[in-house]
Amino acid sequence: MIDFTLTPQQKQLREMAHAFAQGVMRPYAMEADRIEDAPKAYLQQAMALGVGLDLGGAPGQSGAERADDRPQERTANRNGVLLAEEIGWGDPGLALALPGPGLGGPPVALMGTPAQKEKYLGMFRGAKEPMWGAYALTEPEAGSDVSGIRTSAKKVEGGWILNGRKIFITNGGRAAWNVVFATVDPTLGRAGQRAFLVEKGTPGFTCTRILHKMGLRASETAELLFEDCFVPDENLLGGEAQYQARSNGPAGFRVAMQTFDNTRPVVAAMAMGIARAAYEYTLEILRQGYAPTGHFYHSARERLAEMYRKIEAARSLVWEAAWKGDIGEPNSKEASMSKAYAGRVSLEVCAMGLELLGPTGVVDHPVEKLYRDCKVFDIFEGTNQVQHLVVARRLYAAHGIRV
Amino acid sequence: MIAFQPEEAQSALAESVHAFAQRYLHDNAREVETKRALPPQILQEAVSLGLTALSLPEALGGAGLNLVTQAIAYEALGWGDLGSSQALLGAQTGHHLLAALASQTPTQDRLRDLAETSVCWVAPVWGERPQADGSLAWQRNAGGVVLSGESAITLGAQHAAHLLVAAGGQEGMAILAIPSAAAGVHFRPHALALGMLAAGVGSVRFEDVRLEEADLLAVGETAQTAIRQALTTLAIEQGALEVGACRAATEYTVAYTAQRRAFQQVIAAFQGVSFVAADMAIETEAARNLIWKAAVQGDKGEDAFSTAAMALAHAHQAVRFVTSNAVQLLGGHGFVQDHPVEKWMRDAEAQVLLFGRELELQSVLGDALWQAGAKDGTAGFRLAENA
Repeated sequence: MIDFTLTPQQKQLREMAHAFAQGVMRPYAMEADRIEDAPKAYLQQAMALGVGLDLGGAPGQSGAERADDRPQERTANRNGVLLAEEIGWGDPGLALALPGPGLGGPPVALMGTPAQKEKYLGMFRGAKEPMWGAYALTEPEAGSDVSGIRTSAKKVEGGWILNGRKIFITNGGRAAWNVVFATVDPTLGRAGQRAFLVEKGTPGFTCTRILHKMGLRASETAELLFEDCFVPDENLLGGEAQYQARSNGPAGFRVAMQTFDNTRPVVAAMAMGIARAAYEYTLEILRQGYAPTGHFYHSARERLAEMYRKIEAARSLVWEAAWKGDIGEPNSKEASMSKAYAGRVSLEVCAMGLELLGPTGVVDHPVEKLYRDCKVFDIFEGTNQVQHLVVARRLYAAHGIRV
Repeated sequence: MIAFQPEEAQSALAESVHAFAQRYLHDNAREVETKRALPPQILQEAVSLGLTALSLPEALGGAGLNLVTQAIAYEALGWGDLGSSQALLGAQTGHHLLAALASQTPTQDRLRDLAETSVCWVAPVWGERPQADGSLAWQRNAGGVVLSGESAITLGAQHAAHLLVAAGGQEGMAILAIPSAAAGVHFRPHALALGMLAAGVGSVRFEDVRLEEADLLAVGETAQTAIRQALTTLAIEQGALEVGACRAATEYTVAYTAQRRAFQQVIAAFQGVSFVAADMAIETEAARNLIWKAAVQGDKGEDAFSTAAMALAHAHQAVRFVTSNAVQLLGGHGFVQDHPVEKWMRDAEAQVLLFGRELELQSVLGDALWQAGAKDGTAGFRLAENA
């Protein structure tokens, strides 16, 4: 079947997310950008409403529909991108600041032992105070090239000793736990990687810096340091046996990549939500100021149509990638296509909005903020270039060429 | 439910159309272009397979395919060769008007008769509202109708038995059917060197052509509505053909760059090459999705006019980007006629000139967007505190 209609449940989900975006996120958006943090009142309101950032990690929460205990078709990925578009439309920085397991959720859900899932995802159930999970992969010298991470994990009696530095970690400083990727031997490449659940307050683990950014200022971006940090055996994500299974490639890396296949369309959807916000805002401001006649109108409608068309094209790629993930087919090509396209055109759309609004757009309107917020969506979760690499590899694999 | 999976019957149709396209359009494309005509046996084969009546409803003797299925079939044809596809289908663009009229009128005998012949829509025009070809005018005269003027440049007219035009007149816009052989109908072939050489590109001059009342298929509101609907389905057909051309050019380019060597390695190993190929694949995918979106909307009985215009604008952009880069990545080999990509690029450029320029299509969408507005566009932000 080829169809683009939402189920009644999905419509409801989207309406709820939209109401939250408009009624709770947007009122704090400008302030959060100015103070470079998520206002406490916002976090409390989100908690009170039970809204959290969950990318399919925690059982029993929104977006976390499980395939294994439900007979009907899995829709978690499609639901996830619908939600992400709305909260991106609301405010992307405040979206990333939402309490919940965040990017740390999927690896725990995909690979965690039952005890780990219960402890680290279960803790979000009924939490009274804002809590976060985080995903600590990137290092100062290894971003896109995941196989290049140097944070070391050394086996000792009863656990592991971690040493190294992580950077650009969303919510990494305030998170209750980070999924930390480290290597037992850099010469083994991906095969040497392990993922650990490191709790906040673990001796040897510190947050050294909160980074100042171009946009997305409401979201905390942390630098983390691990100095002889002891992590007990039970916090090795999934247990050692998982890493010994080589049938499907190195497990540590596989976890990192599976996470990306699930989250890239979500990130692309958020970028598209930002672009939609910029488009809609621009359209409304122009409609208030101009009659649909004359030179400016005729030029503006072309631009607006181009903005809208690119958003629609991006959404179609996002939905396709999410659908493919839901039906259980490999979707890394589609996921990267959606991210590469949405990341690029969303920024273009914001820039077109700025240009249409003119200087007023910079001074009095949130479109300049959306523009600043949008840029990183073409960078994090794999830069545009990495997405192209993934797509190109899939294209040429059929010809036996590795590019 | 959001889904992108063609049904089994649709995939089976795509496979059989693909087989035809490979054998008759793809493999013969150069010959067809050189002779500037599709060999009669290819046309016969296509007719026997029903490929020239994909857009006709059952009531008019067609297969009654829904728009999504049509899009899937047209993509497979376009994959074969865009120019040859137009040589095959250009004389049948009138099916879209006939289908639109059939959905409105209870008396369909005349439409059915027309559908049994080849019937070309002379010069469809996209604009702010569905338009007549501005240079064509009709008027009543002595119990009949007279048509005069010269059409815009179009394709397929000289290969069709009947021509359909939208002309302006005192009583409003009308859709008229004209036998090609009628007195006063003059074809003016245009020496378009760019592309679509076998598709019969040219204009038609109507020199006080006398028609019967029965040739006046629709007037005023009915004609407007039919044209709007026909432009919608025509946009889906043309966009799908372009998506097919995009897919062919991407596949060809990937295969070529995977084996062509330079500097001791295959050139696909250079990211300056492989990233462009990735972009070609992405643009193709997005163009297909938007065409499908318009088709789904139309199949649900919704007004898909502006969505289809948007999808066609996107397909136009994609087919130019993809075919031009196919030539680029083949380098000098792409520029010469040993490979098909230079033809695909020329055909693509001619195609987008003939079926609604991007600016026109985007105006259609832009007007609709402006009119609709964005309900919550500025809602929620607290700006005053920030000032």
